[in-house]
Order: sequence, then C-alpha cells, then structure tokens
Amino acid sequence: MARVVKVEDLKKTYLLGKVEVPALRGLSFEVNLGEFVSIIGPSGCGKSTLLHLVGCLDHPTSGSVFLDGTNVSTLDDNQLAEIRNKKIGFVFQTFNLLPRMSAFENVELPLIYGYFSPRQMREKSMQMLEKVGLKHRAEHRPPELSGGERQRVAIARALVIDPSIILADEPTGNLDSKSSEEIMAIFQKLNNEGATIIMVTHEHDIAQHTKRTIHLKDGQVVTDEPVKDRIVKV
Amino acid sequence: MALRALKSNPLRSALTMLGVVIGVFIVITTVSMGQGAKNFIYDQLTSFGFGANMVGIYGAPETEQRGLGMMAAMMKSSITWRDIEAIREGMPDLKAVAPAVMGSGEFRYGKKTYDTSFVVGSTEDYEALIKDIAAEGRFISPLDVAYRRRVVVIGQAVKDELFGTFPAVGEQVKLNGVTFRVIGVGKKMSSFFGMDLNEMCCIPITTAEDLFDTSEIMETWAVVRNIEEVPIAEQKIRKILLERHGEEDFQIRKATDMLERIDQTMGVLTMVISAIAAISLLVGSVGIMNIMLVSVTERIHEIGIRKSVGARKMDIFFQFLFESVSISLVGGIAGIAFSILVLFIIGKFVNIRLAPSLGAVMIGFFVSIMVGVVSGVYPAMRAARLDPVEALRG
Repeated sequence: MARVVKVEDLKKTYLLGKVEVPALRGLSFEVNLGEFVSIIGPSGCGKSTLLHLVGCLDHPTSGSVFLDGTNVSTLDDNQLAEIRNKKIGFVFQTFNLLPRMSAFENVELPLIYGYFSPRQMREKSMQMLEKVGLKHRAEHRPPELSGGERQRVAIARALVIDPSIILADEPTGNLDSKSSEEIMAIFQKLNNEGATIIMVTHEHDIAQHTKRTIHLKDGQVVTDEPVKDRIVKV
Repeated sequence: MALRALKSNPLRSALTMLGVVIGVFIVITTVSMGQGAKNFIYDQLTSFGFGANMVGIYGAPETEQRGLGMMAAMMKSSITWRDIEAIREGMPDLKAVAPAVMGSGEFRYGKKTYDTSFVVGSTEDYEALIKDIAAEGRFISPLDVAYRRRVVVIGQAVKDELFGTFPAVGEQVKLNGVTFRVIGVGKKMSSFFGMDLNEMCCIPITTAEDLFDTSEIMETWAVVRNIEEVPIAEQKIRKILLERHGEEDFQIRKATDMLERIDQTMGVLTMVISAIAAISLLVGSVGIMNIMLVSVTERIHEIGIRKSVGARKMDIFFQFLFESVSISLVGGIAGIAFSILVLFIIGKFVNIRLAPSLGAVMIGFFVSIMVGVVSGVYPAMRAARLDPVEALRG
C-alpha cells in the first residue's frame, strides 16, 4: 500500500502571551492510499491543529509531516501553498465558501491558482458539481443554498484539483442529521472510488461511517483502531 | 474580480475615487486651458500678421514704473521718423519697417460723425503687418508719405457709420477738423486682444506728425526675411539707434517674446495648480489606502479561504493591488472624461480652440495608475502576509 501521509513525532506549541500552550505533544501515525480515517477527541485535544499541519496551513514546532513521501515540514510558505493547491482538498465545518461568488465560481477557485485553461477550469468545475449533484445550482450563490448543498459545493471544490488527500474538519458540525447523512454518503462514495480521506470530528456516530479511528487526547494518540460496526451508506 | 469588489460597494468606491477624479481633472483642465490660451494668443498674433520674423522697436527704456514695450512708449517715445529712415537706409535687407504714430481721431462726413477712431500714421510697409489691409481702393503709398498727403484708409466700422452702403473711396472727410480724401477702406477684421481693428484708420506717417503735432513714433515693427536673421537685425537696429541717440533710450523686442512671457506666466500658474492637484491626488491616495486597509480587514476570511485552496502570497498581493489600481484608474478615467466634458463646454462659450491636451491625458492616466500602486502596496502586503490558519478563523 502506498503511503499518503506519515506523521512523525509531531509537536505544535502555541504562545499565548508568554505562556507556552502545547497543542500536539508528539504524535505519529500513517495513512495509506484509499483509507478513510476519522480523528476523534474532545474539543481542545489538538484535532484541528493536526489537520492544519497535515494540510500544510501551518508549520509544526517539531517533528515531520510527509505527504506522498515529501517532508512538508521543511518547505517555505510558497511551496506549502503549491502543495495545498495540488494535493490537498479541504472541507470545513463552516463551509468557507466565498459568499459573493456563485457555486460554480467557488468550485473553480483552486484552479485559478494553478495552470489551467479557462476551458479546462469550466469543464472540471462542472464535472465536480455534477458529481455532488448540484449542477442545476451552479449559478446560485452560497446564501441561496441550504447547509447540505453548501457543504456539497465545498466538497466539489476540494475534489476539483484531484487531490492526494481530502481533509475534512467537522464537515457535518453545522448540518442537521439528514444533511449529515448525505454528506457522509458522499464521502463513502468517494472513498469507494479510491479517495483517501482524513476527517476530524467529535461525534462518534459520524466517526462510525469511516474505516479507522484515531482517538486523540491532550495532543497525543490514545487509540488507533479499525471501526467496528461501520455504518455503510453506499 | 477587482471590478466586482468595486461594484459590491459602489458608494464607498465612488467616494474613495473622488480625490483621484479631482486631481486628474485639475491636471488635464489646467494644462489644456493653458494650451488653449497659448493657441488663442498665437492665433491672434498670426492673424494680425505677427510672426517670429518680427522685431519691435519702442522709444522708451524699460522701467518698472512704465512697463514694457508699447506701454512705456505710449507716454513718451524717443523714436522719430528720422530714426526709421536711418534704419531703412542702413538695413536695405529688411522686408519692411512699419512705424506707427498713434492718435485718436474724430471723423465728420456731412452731418455724420465718428467720434473715437483709432488713427495710425504709418507707411506702405504697414501692409506687412496686416495683409491686404485695404479691401477697397488702395493703401498708403510711398508718395503719400513723401508729400505728406492728407489721405486716409478708413476702417470698416467708420465706413459703415459715415457712408453706409454708399461708396467711400474718393470722398472728402474731416479728420480732427482737417480735410482728408478717402483712398481706401479697410477689410473686415476680428478684434485683436479686445481692440476693434475695424475702427482703425491709417494715414501717412508724415501727415500724422502734422495732425497730432508730434514726432514720437510709439511702435515700429521691423520684418526680416528669415527668422534666423532676427538676432542680427536686432543688433544692427540697436547699433543704428545707439549711434543716433547716444544712449539706450529704447527697447527692441521680438514678437516671440510675448509668447515666451505667456509661457513663463503659465509656467508659474501651472506649478501652483499642479501643487493643488498633487495635494488632491495625495488625499485621494490616502483615501484609497485607507479603504483598502478596511477592505483587507473585512475580507480576512476570504483571504484565508483563498490561501487554503493554494493562493500564494503573490496571488493575494496582486489581487489587492489590482483592486487598488482599479479604483484609482476608474477614478482617473472619470477625471479624464469629466475634464474633456468641461473643456468642451467651456470651448462652446469662449471662442478659443480648446482641446484636451493628449500629453495631459496620458499623464492623468499614468498618475492614476501610480496612485493606485502606491496606495495599494501596503494594504496588499498586509493581506498577503496573513497567516492562513488565523485568517480562516477571522
């Protein structure tokens, strides 16, 4: 199995004034191609920090993150931006769509920072909207869409660059249970098609949809085991 | 993308642009009006026959109290008909030497009178200043001057008043009580610096000396054949007059001096107004920078989202710089359009060739781009430097 993510003794310490607050206290794990991993734990346990480090949004205090074999901990801001643009698809709890742009333009956004022709951009974006079942809503702006639809737009945006890994940060946190189920069904379908997904959540029933759960507490891995009684939607 | 950001808050964008609009407007209008004024004066001079090949001689030294050229010579002039004859003899190469003894004349013809006509005593050379001056009859001849003949070429206005539609040439009129024969009628002329040339009547210079009981020639224009000869002619005239007068109680001026003086005046005016424009642009620039900083703060979340999908610092930097330049450029173009409109309207009212100066429009264009760049750099840098994680939270 090809290794997509390797985290090695990862530490992250924040400075609050003069006080050092450790968020991650040296954790290690690996994620292979085609895995669907949930990272679970109480709030403040370092889940989001971990996701930001794996997602190249932040620099670790020490330790390393390898993405597709590249140690990204040593890269500069521009190189990290390029990795985010080529390899990482983020899905956030608050969707993080640009409210003034249409669904279509939101999906297209990562591509304008790459090297694509306008035609390629249009085709890819439409394809992804179709994949999440929102082709008919392409010209609508986020405020005109329901929560579930917005998250589907965000997933389409994550997919449009054909990422090595999808990083989801509490993707169902702002959704009702029906929409949550829909979103999880989409993630499972994507995983079945071969996508590697890491999802942060604090809800156990959401984690049940994944294949493997890493349990975090106080910035350390407590357990790392396959999901039993997995809920399969697709 | 940048224009969309402008449209999302049209009132704010418009107010922000105002400084640039005004600044660019001032620059273009001032430069173009200055150019227009110069065109106007140039047109006046050339329509009167003035050109760069002329040298003016005035019989009074330049003093602060009495001013320059003709103004000084109107009071008292040291130049006489003898001086003019000496110049004519000493410098046969000159195309023309046109002296002017000036006075006011009252015409009578039968019961009709014309009170205040402007009478110029000159020679046949005066035709070098006003081409084909006599529309009917003829102009003053050398013989008229030599024999002190009482003949007059009357202006259009005088002719209309005294003779109406009847022929004037050959008739006898009284000028300041002295009988003159009308030998010609002047052509219709536009006014020259506010002076109605249709009132001007010409008589032989020798006759004018008798009529006004003076030998002072207030103004003389010497016309050279080639512009390159102007400095030489100036020197020669100075030498002749110095020999005759023993001192420099006269002035010699080039026709182009006037344009140069206007240039100087315009230069000072342009500097002052440029300073105002610069202040306006500075205020505009500060306004844009301010609004851009607000815009960056308002859109921290957007910046975070863009960074999370792979925007590099440069991408964010240029996004905001473009926006700032767009604001400024739209303002600049509005200023250009506004100034063209105003110049067009002014041009309709005053009869001056007024066209927006291309150079000023270009300057306005580039200055507005520069203002956009200068005021956008700092806010754009702030935006680019934002930490992605923090920005996403914002």
